[in-house]
Amino acid sequence: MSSHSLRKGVLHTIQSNHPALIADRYSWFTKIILSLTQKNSWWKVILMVIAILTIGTWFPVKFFQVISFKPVTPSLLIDQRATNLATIISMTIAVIGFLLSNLSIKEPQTYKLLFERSKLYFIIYYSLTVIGSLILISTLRDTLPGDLFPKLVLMGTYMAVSVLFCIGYLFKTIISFASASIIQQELVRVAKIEAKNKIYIQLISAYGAKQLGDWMNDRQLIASSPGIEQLVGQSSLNGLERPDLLYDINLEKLGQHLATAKTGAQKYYRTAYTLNVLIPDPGLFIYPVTGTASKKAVPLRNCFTLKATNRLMEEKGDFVRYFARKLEEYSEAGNAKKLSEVLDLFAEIYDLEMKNQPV
Amino acid sequence: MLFDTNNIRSSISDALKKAVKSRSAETVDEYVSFYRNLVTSSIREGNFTYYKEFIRFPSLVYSAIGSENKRTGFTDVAMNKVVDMLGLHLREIIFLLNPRFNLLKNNVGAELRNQFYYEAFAGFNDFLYKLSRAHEWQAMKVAIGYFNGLSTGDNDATSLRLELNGLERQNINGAQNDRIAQLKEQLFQYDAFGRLRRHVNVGIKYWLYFLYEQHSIDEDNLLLLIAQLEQFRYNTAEDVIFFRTADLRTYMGWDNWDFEDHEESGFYSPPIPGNWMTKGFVIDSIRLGNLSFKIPLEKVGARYELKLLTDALNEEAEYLARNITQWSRVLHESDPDALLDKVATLRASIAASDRIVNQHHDRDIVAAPLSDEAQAAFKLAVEQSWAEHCDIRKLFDQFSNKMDVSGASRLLKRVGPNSFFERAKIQFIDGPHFSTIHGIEDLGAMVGRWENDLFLEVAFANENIVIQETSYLKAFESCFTRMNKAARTPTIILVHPADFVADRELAASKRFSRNQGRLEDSDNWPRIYFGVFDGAKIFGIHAERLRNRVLVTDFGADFQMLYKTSPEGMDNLLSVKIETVSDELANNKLAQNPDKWMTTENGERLSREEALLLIKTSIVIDIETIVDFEIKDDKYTIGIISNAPVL
Repeated sequence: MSSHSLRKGVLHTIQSNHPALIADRYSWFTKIILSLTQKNSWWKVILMVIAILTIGTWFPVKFFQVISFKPVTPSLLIDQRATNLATIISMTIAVIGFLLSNLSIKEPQTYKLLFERSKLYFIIYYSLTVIGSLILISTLRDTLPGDLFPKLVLMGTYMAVSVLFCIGYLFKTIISFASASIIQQELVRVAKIEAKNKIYIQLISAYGAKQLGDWMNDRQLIASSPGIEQLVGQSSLNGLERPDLLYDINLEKLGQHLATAKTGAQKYYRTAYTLNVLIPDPGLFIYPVTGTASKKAVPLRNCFTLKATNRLMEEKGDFVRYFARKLEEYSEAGNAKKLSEVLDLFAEIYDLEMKNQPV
Repeated sequence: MLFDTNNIRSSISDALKKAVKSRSAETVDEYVSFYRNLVTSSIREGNFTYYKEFIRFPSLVYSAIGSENKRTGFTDVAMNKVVDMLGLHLREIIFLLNPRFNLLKNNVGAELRNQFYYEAFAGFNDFLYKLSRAHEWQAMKVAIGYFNGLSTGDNDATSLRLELNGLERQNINGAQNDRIAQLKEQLFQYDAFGRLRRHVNVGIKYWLYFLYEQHSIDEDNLLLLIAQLEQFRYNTAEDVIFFRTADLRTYMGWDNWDFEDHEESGFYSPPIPGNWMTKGFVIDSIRLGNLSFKIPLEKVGARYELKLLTDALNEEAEYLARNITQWSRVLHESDPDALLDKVATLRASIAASDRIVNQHHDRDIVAAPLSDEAQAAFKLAVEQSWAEHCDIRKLFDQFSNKMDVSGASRLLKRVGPNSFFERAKIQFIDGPHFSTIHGIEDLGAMVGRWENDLFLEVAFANENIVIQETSYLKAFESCFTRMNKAARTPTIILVHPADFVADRELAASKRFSRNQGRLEDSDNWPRIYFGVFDGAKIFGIHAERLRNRVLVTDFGADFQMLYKTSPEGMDNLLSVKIETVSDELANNKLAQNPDKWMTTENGERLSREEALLLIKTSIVIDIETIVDFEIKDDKYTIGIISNAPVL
C-alpha cells in the first residue's frame, strides 16, 4: 500500500489489525468537547459565546423568533436575567465548593477525573461569559441600533436558560462522585482507556519503524556503518539541534528527492527512524555515497512533519500509576477485596497489550 | 512492554513484599492468582515472550515470603500454606500445556510448545532450589510431591519409534539417512517433556547430595527427600554426559546455584554444576546399585568424554571411601572395600562403553575420505615452516649458484621424512571427528634442518682445508689470510649460534662490526645474523657439525646446489604426500609391535580386528625435497676453535 503519509499508512494498519484498540478512541466531536473543557481553554469558550450570539442575532433561526417583545420589555428583561443568573451562579459555586471538599476519595486523580467528567471548567467559563455578555448587552441598550438590541436580549435569555442545564448537569455528576464505588469504577474505566492509548502509541512507533524500514528496503537504502559515518564527516554529526518529535514523514516527497539525488550512488540512512520518537535533525537522514567519498546529504527537511516537544511532553493523566500506588496501600492494609479489583485491572491491561502486539 | 515502561511490574512486586510483610495470607494469595492468570492467558494466546516474563512467579512469591521469614525469624501456618500451593500451581500450568487440552494455540509447533515446557520446568527447578536454599525441607517435600504428580511424558510416539527402528535396521548405504535424521529430530521434540522432567528430578537430587556433603542438610531430611524423588528412577548415563558437557550457563539456571551466602566484596566462584552432578551420579549409581552404564552412541560426544568421566569417578570413589561414615546410610554401604568393588564394576561398564564408542569413532575415521581442504591447509603449514628453516637454501638463492637438473639422469639425494603418525588421520578428514594435531607441521622445519645438515656434511668432508686457532677472531683472521692468498674474498661465515660469542677480543677488532639492526630483506637470509667481518656476513646455523667450528667461504664460487622439481609442492621444490594406511602396512605395523597396538590405556586386550582398525586411524606423511650439494672449488676454509670455553 503506498500512501503519501507514513502516519496515515500506520494508522490504517492499526485500524485493520487492532480493532479492539480503536473502539474506545475519541471521535472528532468528543475531541472538540474535550478541548473546550480544558482548564486553559477559557478563550475558546468566550469565542464560542460570542459566535453563538452573533450567529443568533444576524442569522436568526425561525424557531427562536416565535417570542416577540414590546419595545420596553427587553430593557426590563435583560436586567432581571443578569441578576437571576448571578445569584444562581454564586449559589452554585458555593455548593460545589462544599461538595468537592466532601468527596469520598480525596486524591488528585479523583479531582482531576471529576473536573473532566463534570466539565466544571467549561461550565464555569460558560456561565461567567454569559453573565458578562448580558451585562454588556444591558449596558449597550441605548447605543445599539433599533432592532439589534431586542434580538440580542432574546439570544441572551436562551443562553441564560442553557446555563441552568449546564449547572444541573454539574450537580448530577458531582453528587454521583459522592459514592466511592462509582469513583472507583470511573477510575478503572479511565485507566483502561489510558492504557489503550499508550499501547496505541507504542503500536504507532512499532509499525512506523516497520513500514519505513520496508519502504527503505524497497529503495535499496542501506543502514550506515561507522565507516560510512566517518566518510560523512564529523561536522554534520555535530549539527544536533534541539530534538523534535517526529510526527509524520511524507513518503511521496521523500521518494521524489531520492529519485533526483545523485543517481548511481549507494544511499545510506543514518538511523532507523520511526514515528513518535525524538530526532535531532531529519536533514541528516540519508546520504548518497559513491566510492570513497560522501556526497552532500539529500536535503530532506521538508519531508518531515515535526512537533515541538514541550507541548507533547505534557503529562496526560496517570491513572495507571495511581492504581500502582493503591496496590501498595491495599497490600499493606491487607485489603484483599480491593486488591483483587486492582489486580484484575492490571490483568486486563496485560491481556490487552499481549493481544495487541504488532503483527 | 507496557508493564515495564509504566513500572507496573516492579510496583506489583514491591506491593507483594508489602503484602507479605502485613502477614495477610489472603492478600498474598491474590497475587498468586493474579500471576497465575497472567501465565494462563499468555498460554491461551500462545505468546511465549509474555509467558516467559511471569512463569517464574512461584520463585518470586516464595522469595518474598522466605526473606520476610528470615528477617523476622518467624513463620506462620497460613503463609506456609501459600508456599505449599505454589508447586501445585506450577504443576497445573504444566498440565495446561499438554496438547490434549488444546489450550496452547493449536497451531504452535512441537518446538515452541517445548519452549513453553522448558520455561515451566526451569521455573519448577528454580522454585525447588530456592526452597533448598532456605532449608525449607518440609515445603520442598510438598513441592516434590506435586512434581511427582506430573505424568512421565506427554506423547510416547510409538509409531515413530517403530518406524525409526525399522529404518535403522535396513539402512543400507545410508539411503534412509534423511528420513532417520528427520525422525530423530521429531522424537527429540517428543521426548522433550520426559527429558525436562528427568533433568529437574535428577538435578535436584544431585544437588541435595552436594548439600549433604557441604553439611547444609541433615541426614534424615536428605533421605526423606531422596526417597520422595526416587519414586521415579532413571538411567542417567546419558544425562551425566549432558551435564558434564553441555553449556549449562543457559540451561535450568544450575550454573548460579550456590549453598551459602558470600560477602559482597569477596571473590568466590559458585559450585560448578558439572562437578557436583558427577558426584551425584556416582553416589546415586552406588546407592541404587545401578552399576551398568548404557548410553546411546551418539550421546557420548567427544571421544575422551568417557575417559574423563572415569577419572572423575575414581576421584569421587576415593572421597566416598574416605568418608564412609558420613555416607554409609545414603549409599547403603558401610564397608569401603565393598564400595570400591561396586565402583570397579561401574568403571568396567564405562570402559566397555568407551571401547564400543571408540571403535565406532575409529570406524568412521577409517571410512572417511581424506579432505582436500585439510590436506591443502596442512601442506601450506608445512611449506611455511620449511621455507622458514631452510637457511642454506636461502644462501644459494642469494648467490644464484644453483642448478635445476630435473631432466637429467643424475641422481640426487631425497631429503625428508616418511613418517607414520599414530591416530593422526583426524586432521585430514571432514566431519565431527576432525581435530587438529599440533606440531605435525614441524615436519617442514625438520626438512629444512636436514638440508642444512646435508650441506655441511658435504662441505666438511674435505679435511685438507682445516686450520686450528684458539679464538673466533684468530680463526677468522687465519681463514681470511688463507683465502686471500688464493685470491679469494670470503662472503659468508657460518658459525654455531650456541658457541659463537662476540667476545671482547672480537668486538675490539676493527674488522668486525656488529650489526645492530637486522639485514635488509632479512626474510631471504638465514634467520640468525651476527654481523659483518671484513665484508663477510656471519650467520648462525643450528647444526652439530658447526660446534666450535667456523666455515669461511666465498659462497658463490665455492659451492653449488643441484635440485630437481616435483610436480607437487611449494614452487615444485618441496613435495608433500599424505596417504592413508594400507592393509599391508597395517598388518606390518601390527606384526612389528603387537603388544603396543592390542593393549588399551586401561590395560585391556583388543582383538586383532580392533587393533588393525586403530592402526588405520593413523596417517603416512611423506615430505621430501630432491637436492644435492657439491663443491665447485675448495678454497673455502674451516677453522676449529680448539680451546673454546667448555660450558
